[in-house]
This record gives sequence, structure tokens and C-alpha cells, in this order.
Amino acid sequence: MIAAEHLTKIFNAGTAKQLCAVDDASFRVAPGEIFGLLGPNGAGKTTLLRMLGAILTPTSGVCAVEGIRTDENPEQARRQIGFLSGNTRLYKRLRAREVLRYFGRLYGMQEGKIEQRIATLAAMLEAEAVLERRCDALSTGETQKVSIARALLHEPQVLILDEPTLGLDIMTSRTILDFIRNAKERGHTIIFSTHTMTEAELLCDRIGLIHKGRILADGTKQQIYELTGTKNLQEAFLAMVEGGMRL
Amino acid sequence: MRWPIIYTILRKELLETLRDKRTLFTMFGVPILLYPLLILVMGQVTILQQTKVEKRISRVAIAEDAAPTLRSWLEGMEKIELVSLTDPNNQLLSGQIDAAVLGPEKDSELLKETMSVDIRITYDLAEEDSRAALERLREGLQKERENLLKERLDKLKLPMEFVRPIRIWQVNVAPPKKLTGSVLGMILPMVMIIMLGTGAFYPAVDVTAGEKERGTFETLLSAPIGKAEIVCGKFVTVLALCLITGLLSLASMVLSLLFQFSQMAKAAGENLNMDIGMIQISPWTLVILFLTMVPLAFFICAMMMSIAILARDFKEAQSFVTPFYILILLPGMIAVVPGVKLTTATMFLPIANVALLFKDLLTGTAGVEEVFAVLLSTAVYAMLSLVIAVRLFEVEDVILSQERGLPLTLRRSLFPKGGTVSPGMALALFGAALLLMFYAGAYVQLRHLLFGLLISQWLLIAAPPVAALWYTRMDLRREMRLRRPSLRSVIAALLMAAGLWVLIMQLTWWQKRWLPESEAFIREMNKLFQWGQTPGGLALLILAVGFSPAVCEELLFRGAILSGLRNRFSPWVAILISGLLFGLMHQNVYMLLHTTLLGFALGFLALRSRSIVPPMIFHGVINTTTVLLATGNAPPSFLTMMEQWTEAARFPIWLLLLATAVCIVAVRLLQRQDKMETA
Ligand SMILES: Nc1ncnc2c1ncn2[C@@H]1O[C@H](COP(=O)(O)OP(=O)(O)OP(=O)(O)O)[C@@H](O)[C@H]1O
Ligand SMILES: [Mg+2]
Repeated sequence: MIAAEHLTKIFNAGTAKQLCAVDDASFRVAPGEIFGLLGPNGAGKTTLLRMLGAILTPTSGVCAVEGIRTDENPEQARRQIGFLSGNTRLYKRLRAREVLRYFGRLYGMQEGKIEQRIATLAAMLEAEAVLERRCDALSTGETQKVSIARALLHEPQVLILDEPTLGLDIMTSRTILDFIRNAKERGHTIIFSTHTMTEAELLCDRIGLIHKGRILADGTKQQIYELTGTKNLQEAFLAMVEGGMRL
Repeated sequence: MRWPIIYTILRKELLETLRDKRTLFTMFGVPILLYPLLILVMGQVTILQQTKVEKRISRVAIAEDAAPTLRSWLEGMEKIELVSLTDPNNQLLSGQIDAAVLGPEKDSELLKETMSVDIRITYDLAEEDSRAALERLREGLQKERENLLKERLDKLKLPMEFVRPIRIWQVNVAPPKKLTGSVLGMILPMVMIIMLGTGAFYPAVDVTAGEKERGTFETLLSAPIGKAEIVCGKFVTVLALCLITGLLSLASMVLSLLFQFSQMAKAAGENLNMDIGMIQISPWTLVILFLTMVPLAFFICAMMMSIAILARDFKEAQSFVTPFYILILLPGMIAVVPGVKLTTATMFLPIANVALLFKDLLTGTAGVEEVFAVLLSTAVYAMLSLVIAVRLFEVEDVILSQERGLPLTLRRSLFPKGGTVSPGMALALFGAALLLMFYAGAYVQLRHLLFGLLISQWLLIAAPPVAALWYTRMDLRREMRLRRPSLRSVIAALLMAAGLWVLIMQLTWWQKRWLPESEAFIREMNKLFQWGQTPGGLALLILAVGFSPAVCEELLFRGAILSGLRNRFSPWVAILISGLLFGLMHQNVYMLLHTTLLGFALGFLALRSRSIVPPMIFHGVINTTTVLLATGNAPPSFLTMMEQWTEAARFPIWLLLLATAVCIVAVRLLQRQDKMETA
């Protein structure tokens, strides 16, 4: 369960460079639901997800993960979250297994448990061969697999995925999309951002259109099509932005 | 702060750094290989140079028609070859000869009795060979002069002592440590600072801007760990690497220098008059040297990390940190300047003070007071820079931003209303007060002791925290504990003041046995208390020493600082740290122990009574009593009793027991009140 209320983030407040990256965003994501954030570059997706992940402090507004407020108890909130970003990189000079162990320890997991989880996740992602290699020798797809393992290591209930398929080929993207669908079936709460419309169309139960920091629309695909009188997300999005409509 | 987390971060950062060849090389390669090599090569070159000069035969020009005796003298000298003289200047400057000798032409003139004759040696100061020739000629001629003198005296039947009514002996008492120390003391501090800087440089950049560049900060921040834990883990890594580099270079430098000295002494033999025995450094000195390195390393590491985190990537961070690296060398050079000593002015100059202390330690002239002051001030600088580093990490925008710089504004309206003092701010306030007191306070007190004390208290100690809390829109009343105290806690404060005054007095008497107060300290105290001889002076004295510190120091220590510490730590830890800071604030070894203990009591009183007033009363009573007794303003019968006790440096047992009992009663009264403040 994710709940955001009036989340706002202003960068460089009070200076000439002041920028409102996220403006008054409110929404909820239930367990077993995939919420897709769809928006162009610089729309504020990453900033919004970072606030949900208790990585950035909102300028105003609150959000809660599994009922834990990120402003009151950020560390406890982070325990509930698996955070993954498309441009997550790994510690180059460490082996994949060392990276996973490191995060396991930061999450306060027992050594035995860590090894067990690494084995399970590697089998699931078909990445056993990768474990003993140094991260600077991994391909983009392999890196992303290790990152997914890292995000799932502590068995989080909530998944926050920021453009998880960024820079991946169709095959690897498919694996990851399948994996997201799987997680939904197991009852995880998932929020993910993308700027490819097809991905959002394929995967999401609900879609939030975000532009210049504002959530312009929030609803199922059908609702959005009806509202804008269009047949696909791309048109819907353009209609929204140009027509300045709000749901 | 959870140690397992910090340890996990430390282990990972170390592993990562040790897999980086560049860092490995600066850490181990430079100290282990480069230094000895450099010193050995330089040393060998000097030795070679010297022996070459020694072995070379000097060519000395002398006129064909010079007095035959003079010629025979020169012929008799070692390593001298005679050539004929044409134009001395030309011959010298063109390098044909090393020196020319001009003397009388006839033996009769040369050996005339009862007269002095002139013998001129022309040489070229800029040429080493020419200087060597001069030296040989002078020695040879001096020997001949002695011989002639002896002949003349023999004729007159006078002893040699006739022309030497006084013999002057020079006796050197400088211990070997001092001699070697002054040589090492010039080189080592500089090398130390360079090496600590080098050791900290790459790791500091790597764990901050490097991590930023590699894009791993976001992931790290998504883990359930605090910013302070991240900074600590990273900081300890940098510090460890920095110290290892420092220690290695200290060891390698000392070893190769010692080796070099002994080589040089051997090569030079008798000529240099160098005693190999004088080259000694005790292991104990080395330990103290290392200990002074720790706070310095602390400071350098924290500063470098703070600077590097502001950069976007590794390269930029390098260009940001390099100026700082060069900047710290300047104060380091001060130690090389002859005559610059550790004084009250240089004692608090960051980096320079450590370099100077280093020099003093090596020459064995450092005193307790200097070591204390340098370690204290360096620790304060180190703490402040660490606070800055933590603050910077707490601004997520800095860590996650792809932009450089500090997206911070200091506009008052942007601070949240009613915020609480953070431990970092508490430490910053302490550091500011300490430095202000040291520079501005010392200055105004020098102009006028009592008014200076008043100004120090109100403007330097009380005003900054009040202003800072007001500016950041904090709840002044809550954070400074401006509350009406209960009657019970006021009584407890009075009782505790009476009891502790006796116990503390006894403690200072004991302390004097193993740490006698210095002349300067006693003189300073007497000068202060002399004001008490007139009624007006006494009133001023009580205002400056009794009343003002009670208000001002309490606002700072039991107000802002204790609140800041209490917001992160448990009550007892907060009391302990604030008490220690209070002790350190007095900037004096002799006062450290008892002011720290009083600080504990004051902190306890503040937290128990939840008000600043009881500590103020306690503080005021203790200070005023001390002033009244020291100025002799008390009932005569009591004064004579006190004099006897002071003489014996001991209170009677019954009084000590009574004082202890009174203290216990006071603590009991406070405990009955209510629970310890938990805000
Ligand atoms: N730490 C920061 N400091 C200042 N400005 C920032 C910071 N992070 C993001 N921004 C700005 O906030 C705006 C929103 O950025 P954000 O990364 O959230 O967009 P996004 O939707 O994720 O874009 P993309 O699709 O390119 O990832 C951008 O204009 C960006 O420049
Ligand atoms: Mg983004």
C-alpha cells in the first residue's frame, strides 16, 4: 500500500534556480496493483518516486508506505520498499555477490538468510553465472538483473521501479516485464515509471499521466480513453497536455 | 548510529578502495619506496660530492719570485699543487686555479722579527673547490704561524701561555634529542602534512564524488540506514587510509633519515665532528607524534570529504580539493621558519600548531599545556569539519543532484518554525564560542581584564547561541529551558553547590600534587583577584566572574548545547558530552578536571529540574563563593580556618563527609521531583 498526499518538491528553493519538480501529487496504490507513471523527460517521475522511497524529503505533503510515514520513520519505511532505477549502477570494483551481501547487511539480514536469498533470486533471474563476476564486467542486462536481485533481497512488499527497462533490448525487457507481472500476482504493491506508452498500456492497472510535475490524469486506461476521447495513450497524453485538461 | 552498519560500510569501502591501484600506490608505494629512494639518492649525491672535493688536489698559484720559505711552506701542505701566478683574477675565474697566494718576495721580509706580514689568499666563494683550497691554505698557514710564534717566544724564554691570557672553552649541553630533533623537526611536519593530505585525497574523493559519478548514491540512500551512519562509515575509511599512509611515511622517513645520517657521519668521519650517538629518537616520541597526527588527519579527511561532495564527478572533485591540499601546506611551512615557536597566538592556528608541536616534540621542548591546547583546538576544528560533512550529506539534493554547489539558502523565512537544536548545531555553537573566546576574548581581556571578561561573557558566549536560535526560528524558551523552576529544585541547587564546592576544592588540592600550577597561571589568578581590594572593584569582580558566567555560560551549555545533544543522545550521554565540552571551554589544563565535573553536575541539574534557573543558581553560588574567599571577603574566623586547611591541602574528614551527605540529599530531592527530562 502506497499513499501520497499533496506531495510537492521544490528544488533550490529561494534561489534564482528554484524549480517545482513535483507539484501537489496525491494518489494511492493498493496491494496487487500496478500503477504506471507516464510522462516525458523531466516530468518529475524520478523525483516523485524518490520521495515515495524516502530518499528525498518532500518540501511539503506526506506519503506513507505500508502505513509507515516516510517523514516520521524513513528507515522503517525503506525496509518495506524495493527501489530500483533503470540507471542504477553497481559498485564496479566489487563482485555481484559482494554487492548483494553488502546490501543484505545494510538491511540487517542474517548472513545465512542473505546467502539463501541470493541463491533463490539468482535462480529466479537465471543469473547464477553472474554472481562471481566483477560488476564492471557486466552487460547492461546483467547489471539490471543484479540490481533487481538487490532490490528484492530483503523481500519488500512494495516495489518502486523507475524506468526499469531503460536501455534494455526487447528480450531482456520482456523478462523484466514478466517479472513485474509476477510480482503483482504475488500481491506486491507496485509503482513504476516509464515514458514508453506501450509498456504502460501492456502492464498497468492504473495510469497516472505526469507533466511538468503535475499529475494530469489518474485512472484506468479505459477511463483515460473515455475522458480524452482517444484510443491510445499517446493521443490521450497529447490531448491532455495541449488541452490543459485535468481529471 | 548502529556500529554494525558503520562497520559494514567501512568494510565495503575499504575493499573497494584497496582494489583501486591508484590509491594503493599512493598509500604504500610513495612512503615505502619513494621516500627512502629520494633520501638515499640525495644523501649519496652529497657524500659523493664531498669526497670528490676532499680527494681533489687544489691548484694554488704563487708568484715565481715569491719568498722561498713561503713556497716551501706551501709545498709542504697536503693536497696542494703549485702553479705559477700570472693574473690571479683571470686565472681564478677561468677555473685554471682554485686559489692564489700573494706574499712578500724575500725571506728576510717574511721572517722579520717583531713584525706582521700580510699574506693574501685570493679565492672564488662561489666554487666549492676554491673554498676547499682556501680551507687547506688557511689551516697550513695557521700551523706555520704557530711555529713562528713558538720560535719567537722561545727566544724570549716565555711560555706559549704568555700570548693566551684567557682560554675559551665551548661546552655544548644540547641533548642529542634536541640536535637531531631540530633537523627532523624542520622536515618531518611538512612531510607529515603532505603525506596525510596525499593519503586522504583519493579516498575522500572516491567515497564522495566517485560514488556520485558512479551513480550508486541513490541505491545506497534507499537502504534503511541513516545519513550519519553513511558519513561515519565513509569517514572512518578515509581516516584509516589517511593514517596508514601517514604512519607508513613517518616510519619510512625516520628510518631512512637515520640511516642517511649515520652514512653521512661515517663518510665525513672526524671532519664533520658529527656524533652518531646523537641521532636517536625514542619510541615514546614516535608514539606521541602519531597521536598528534590523529586529530590533524581527522580534520584533513573531514574537510576533503566536505569539499569533494560538492563536486559532480571525480575530476571536478579533484580540482576542488587540490587548492585545499595546497592551502594546508602553507601553515605547515611555518614550522620550517626558524624562530617560530608555539605561542598563545600560534597554538590555535589550524595545522600550523600541529606542525610546531611536532617540532617541539622532536626537540623535546613541548610542555603539557602546549600539547593540551594543540590537541584541543585541532579536535575542535576536526569536529566542526565533520559536522559540516554530515550536514552536507543530509542535504539529499546535493548528493543526488547532477549540479554542483550548495542549494542552501540562509533566508530566515525558510527555516521551519519551532525547530529543535541538532547535535551538529550544538557542536558548531561550542566551536564558535571556543574560537571567539580564544581570539576576541583574549584580546579584550588583554585591554581590560574585568570589562574584557564581561564583554566575553555577554557578547561572545551568550549572544551567538541566542542569535543563532532566534535566526533559525527555534523555540528559544523550550531549547534554552527558560522555565520557572520548582522551589524544591532551587533548594537542591543550593545544597549541591555547597556540598560540591567543598569536594571540588579538595580535588584541586589533590590535583596540585601531580600537576603543580604554573607560575603564569597563579600570576594570572592573583591579578584577577586583586580587584577585590576595593568595594567597587569587588562588585565589578562579582558581576564579571560570579554573575555573568552563571547566566551566559548556562545559556550556552545547559541551554543550546545540552538541548542539541539531548535531541540525539540519551540523557546520560548528553550530560557527559556537555560536561566535557564545558571543561574544555576553559582552555586550561589546571581547570579541566574540576570544570568538567561541575559541568556534569550542572547538566544533571538542568535535565532533572527541566529549567535553566537551578544550574544558573548553582553556577553563580560556586563562582561567587570562590571570588569572596580568594579576595578575603569572609568572616575572619572562617578565613583563618580556611587558611589552615589550604595549608594542609586537606579538609577535615567530617567536613568532607558532611559535603557528601549534602550532595546526596540534593540528588535525592531532585529524584523525587519527577522523571528526567525526556524532550
Ligand atoms: N537534485 C536536483 N536538484 C535540482 N534539480 C533537480 C534535481 N533532481 C531533479 N531535478 C530537476 O527536476 C526536474 C524533474 O526531474 P526528474 O528527474 O524527476 O524527471 P523525470 O520525469 O524522471 O525525467 P526522465 O524521464 O528524464 O528521467 C528536472 O527538471 C530536473 O532537472
Ligand atoms: Mg527519471
